[in-house]
Amino acid sequence: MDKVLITVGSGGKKSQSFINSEIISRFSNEKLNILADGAHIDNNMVVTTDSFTVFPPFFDGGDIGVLSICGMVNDLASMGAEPKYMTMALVIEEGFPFGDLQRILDSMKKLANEQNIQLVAGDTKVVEKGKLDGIIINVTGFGYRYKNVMLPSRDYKIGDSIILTGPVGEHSIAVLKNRGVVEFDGMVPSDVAPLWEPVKSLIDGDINIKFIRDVTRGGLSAVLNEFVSFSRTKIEIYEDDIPVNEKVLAVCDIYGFDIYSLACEGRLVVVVDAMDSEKALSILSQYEQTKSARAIGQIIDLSNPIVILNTQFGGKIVMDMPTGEILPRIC
Amino acid sequence: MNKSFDLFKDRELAKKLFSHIKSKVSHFSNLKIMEFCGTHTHNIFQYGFRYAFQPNLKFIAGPGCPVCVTSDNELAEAFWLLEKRGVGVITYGDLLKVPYNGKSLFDYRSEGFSIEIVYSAIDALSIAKKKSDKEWVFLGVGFETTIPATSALLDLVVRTGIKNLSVISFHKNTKSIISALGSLGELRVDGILLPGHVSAVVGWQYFNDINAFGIPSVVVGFEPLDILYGIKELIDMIEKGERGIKCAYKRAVQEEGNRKMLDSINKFFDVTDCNWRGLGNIKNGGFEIKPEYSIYNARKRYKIENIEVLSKQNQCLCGDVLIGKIEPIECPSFDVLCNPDAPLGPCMVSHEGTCLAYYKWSRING
Repeated sequence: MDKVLITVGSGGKKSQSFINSEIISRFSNEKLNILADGAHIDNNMVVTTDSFTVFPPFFDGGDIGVLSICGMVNDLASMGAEPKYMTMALVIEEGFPFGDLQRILDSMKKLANEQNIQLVAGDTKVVEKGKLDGIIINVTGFGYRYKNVMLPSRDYKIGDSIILTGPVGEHSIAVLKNRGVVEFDGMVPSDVAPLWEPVKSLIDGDINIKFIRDVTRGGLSAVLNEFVSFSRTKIEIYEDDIPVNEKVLAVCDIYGFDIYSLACEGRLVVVVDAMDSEKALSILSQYEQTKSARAIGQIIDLSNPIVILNTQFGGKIVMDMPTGEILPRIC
Repeated sequence: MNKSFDLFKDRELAKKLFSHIKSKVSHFSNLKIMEFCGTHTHNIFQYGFRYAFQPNLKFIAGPGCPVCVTSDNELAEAFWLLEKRGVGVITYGDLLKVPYNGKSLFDYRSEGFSIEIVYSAIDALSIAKKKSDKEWVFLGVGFETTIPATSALLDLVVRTGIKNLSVISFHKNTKSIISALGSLGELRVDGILLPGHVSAVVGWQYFNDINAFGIPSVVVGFEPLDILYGIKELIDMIEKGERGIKCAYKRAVQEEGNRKMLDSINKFFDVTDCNWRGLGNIKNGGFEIKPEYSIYNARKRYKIENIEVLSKQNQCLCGDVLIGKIEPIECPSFDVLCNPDAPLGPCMVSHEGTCLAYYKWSRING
């Protein structure tokens, strides 16, 4: 490979192999190597970083500003950390509408306030027209571990329950519709949402949480595959139990998208001890953004890392790491 | 879920039919059913039926994924157009990943070549209009199901007189390939699931040649209940020793097909010999744009002549896998030279091809 392919950033197989062969190989250390959503940099502090680029920057249910704050909050929440501070780097294309920039910053400010996050450092760069498509936002989030929870855990048992906090794919479909790639009547708003509150309640409820990850690029398939590869477990998922939005399902049916590879921005996969599954679901049901949470499967073996999907119609398939860009199929 | 989809996705009915088939096939030791169509392959896999009846019943994915059977020489033509003529190409998404000589259209796109993805052929017109500083070629891929869409595009190109858009046909003929498979005398399958979409266009009489080689066949739809019902019908035929073609997709398919679509194919296309990945040259296996529309044919417009094709196909036994003659593990390249990240032939290229299915199956049971 002598050029960087789009799939390197897709969140699928190619991203994984890029991270291993180019990043870990150079920067390897024990904090980095767990490849979680963030890192525990001392006993209490957790840090995470993410760059956001989306076309169009405004879409049904959100904008790139909302996306960047939620992405950062959810990465910290996945580490069991309460978000506190953030830095922000803006890279803007010359000629980007100033009003749009203000709208984006306003949404970031509003959400940061709601989440009690302070912006403490930042940077702004403008690049020549044509060198970038619109705007890229990088945020680095800092949070403190809440009540000494240490995620992800290293201790897994057969029967540990896998919970998904809501329907998958709404964010991808909202963006694809706003981009004009798919067309249909009505609207599917993005699921983008900050998820620290429900995670905090799970911790307050003394749920034995073992693993949390937010479902973003690469979709549910990617997160579940990352989980089995981290925990070295074999898991079984039941398609009947996966919450779906009927509109998203219909769009996938027509355009030939794999619903489990579509991105979300407000969904978590949470792995908890089997004993705590019911209680966790009842806590999650109290929050608007996690009210459709369901237990979708469990760990069935402590070796042979693989995700098995029991389909709605009685069969079994391997749910694989998505290989690349989301493409409509013709055959 | 949308109600119209719901009807044929009824889980309870599906589970009943599933168990019924399971008990039926328990009387067989190694039944092989070929599903010709790529969408059947995909759905049989996605609904979880592919492994469900093993070892009594195995599905063989036939050569019915048009992208997967797009040949090296056709990809070489597309690459040549990009490199030597500087045109942009427009095509369906899944063609981007098919490799030739270590490269795919994906790779070309990251090198800065102009490659646009469309969901519908006629969208090529708006791309060519919008990006009028460039010449564009639409790569027409697919069977009789997508040819009417290419015809509609050609019709628009002719009517609007747009100058910077032409079409190259990689279209394939299902009638010829089914006859070719049969005449090989080596087709080792007990029954065939015939493609519902193609049949909706051409009618099931199109496949009457099957009668000559005596394999029972059923035209099947695509929803879970359609597929299970089709499998059940086919097993019934096999049990009773019946031959011929049955239609289990009557809500969409008529014996004589769809006249309007057939006319649109015949207006712009002639049947021609054509190379299929993994199967080689098939007599009457493709469609070419008629001579009277040559000015819209990119092969003529850009004077594509003999392009040297570097082929690795000799290491790939997809041709034998596609006709059920061998199982993937019997191919010396399987999991050695050929794997999902570096596929050699269509059976590994396709997300649900037979070789890839075997590759994954070994992991479920591992």
